[in-house]
Amino acid sequence: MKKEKRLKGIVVSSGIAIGKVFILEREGDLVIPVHKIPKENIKKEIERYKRSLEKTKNELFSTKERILKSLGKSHVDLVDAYIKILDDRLFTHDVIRMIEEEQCTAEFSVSSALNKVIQMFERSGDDYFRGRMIDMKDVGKKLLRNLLEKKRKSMEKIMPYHIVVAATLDPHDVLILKERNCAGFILEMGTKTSHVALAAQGLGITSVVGLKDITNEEIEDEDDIILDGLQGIVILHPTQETLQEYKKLYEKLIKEKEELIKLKKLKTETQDHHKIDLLCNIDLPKEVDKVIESSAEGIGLFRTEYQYTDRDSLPTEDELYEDYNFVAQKVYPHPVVIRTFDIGADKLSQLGLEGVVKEKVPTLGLRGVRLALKYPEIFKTQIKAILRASSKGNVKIMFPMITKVEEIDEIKKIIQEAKHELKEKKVNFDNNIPIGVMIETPSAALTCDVIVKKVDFISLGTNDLIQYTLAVDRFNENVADLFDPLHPSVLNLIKHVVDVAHKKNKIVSICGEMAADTMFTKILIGLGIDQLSVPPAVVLKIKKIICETNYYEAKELVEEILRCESSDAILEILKQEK
Amino acid sequence: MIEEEFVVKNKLGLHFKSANELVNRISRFKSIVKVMKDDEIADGKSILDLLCLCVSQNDKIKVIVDGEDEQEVIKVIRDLIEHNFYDTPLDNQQK
Repeated sequence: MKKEKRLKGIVVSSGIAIGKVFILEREGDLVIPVHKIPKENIKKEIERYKRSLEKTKNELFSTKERILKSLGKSHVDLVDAYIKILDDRLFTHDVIRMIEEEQCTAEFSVSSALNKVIQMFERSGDDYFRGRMIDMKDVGKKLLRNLLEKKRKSMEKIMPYHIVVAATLDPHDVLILKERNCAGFILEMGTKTSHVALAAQGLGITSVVGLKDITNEEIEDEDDIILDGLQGIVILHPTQETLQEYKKLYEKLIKEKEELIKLKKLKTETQDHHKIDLLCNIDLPKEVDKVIESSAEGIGLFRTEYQYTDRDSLPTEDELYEDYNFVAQKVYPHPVVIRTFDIGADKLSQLGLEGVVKEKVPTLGLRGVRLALKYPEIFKTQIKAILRASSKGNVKIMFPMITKVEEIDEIKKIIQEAKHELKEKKVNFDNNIPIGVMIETPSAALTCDVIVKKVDFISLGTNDLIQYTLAVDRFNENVADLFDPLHPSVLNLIKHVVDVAHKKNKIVSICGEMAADTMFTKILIGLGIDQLSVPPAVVLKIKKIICETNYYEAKELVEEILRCESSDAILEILKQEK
Repeated sequence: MIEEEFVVKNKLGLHFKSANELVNRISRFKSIVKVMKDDEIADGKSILDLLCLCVSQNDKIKVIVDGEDEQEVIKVIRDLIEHNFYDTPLDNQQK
């Protein structure tokens, strides 16, 4: 019996896997031939090298295609980088020159060139450049494998009980592992933010990386192995006791997961049947799958800023529409609230617009509808795109950063124009599309009696509301601790908004971070909030709290809290609650 | 021959994307371009050479351009560095 051995690595995708070893490739599998090449064969050796280089590049191109199809654009960066590396002078010239001058094998020339580069990266104290070392090793290995005409073990033989051990993998390999449904994988290299790690997280495969020399440990295929993705530990040759301990832990995790799944089927209401709508915030269209999976009842905030950043020209109406329509179709019959762009003036100058200057204090500057109303044509383009996506009747439109009621009148005028233009073109849209505004400034909160008359719904953006009420920039570390959602001024503002809106029979939702923090859920329910909009990942956590809360008690709690003179006193009450 | 010193301001330093941008923009010129950090010299037209300098944020580099089109080349490089290699760091995208 071999002794149990525990190794510590880096957690990338949590979970627990108990299974058998499957060594895909050992680090020592690639043996570099060092013999001298006779002069007359040099030409042939170089030809052989060039063929392998070309082949490796072609493989990378087809990997890129496959990744594009299955994992999406964001995962191809690494493959692109690999291709660029192989295009570098080092591989196109230096390696060949060395074969000629030193009459060495192509493998030897490649590996010494690689080592030189890797050593340079190793010396750097910068994490980024250390990360590139891993890329170099990986791309070098692909090339050496082709030169040596060595194939990796076939991944076809991987079974669901296997835990795959390898030096490196690329994102496409991870995809195959997912298809083979393997229990997990362990890598020698990699970091938490490496491409493999992101792919593993995206696909939900338990994995630990950064276990140097794991492929050279005393392990064989089909040995018992435990992968503890919670702590980042790998246990080789576990004893019966350890196996038992982990089997229990595994079952416990499964149970917890099942409970959350049961929760999905429950109605989102308090113990005493007070209904709360639970929706999601998204920043990108592709997140819509997570929304559906989370059991949320639609999208309470679709931020559209991404469409206006990272590009040098304005998006066209069709481009905008495509994304809105995609999301609206996917969540149907549930609603999606699309919020018009809330970008700073600096972003517009990046989009090639003249006359926009960078502002000293962007948070107090030309942002949200202020910017939109200054550029009504850009604004109208977005509104038209949103209207076009509304034909099924599940789209609502929302406007950010309202500070005075006249802004709403101006917005409505532009909406009318947009509708008129679409009608002329005989384009279908929802003529009664609900219009809402964000309440995220004290001025909007305190005049919401006038605002609410002009709109169909309102949504509290607590991040900004708190920032502007308390005069605190939460990204400024000198004052970040003053950012306090429990400040009596904040809670009173929220209470005021809810009471006023309810008097006019309008729904109030909340989409700031406060909604996503379980600490505040009961308070928000007690304050009378109708709708919570949170990131997909926390939907079930918040749902659990809602289902466990008693509406009547929550209201009593809020009454008590609103009598408090300070947030410290409020915190004290919350502590006793627990 | 032109020599000019720069401070690299972008967050990841002269990383893959920025080095790639530099190589792509100056490859077509005839001049020889050398990039120096401390005592180490890199070929400005080789991505790996540039990466091997391990230039982090706020590091000083010296650029030496030599050739008939050196004036144009240094202009391109100056523009790139001033605009942080036209790269948007991740933390700006998130907000």
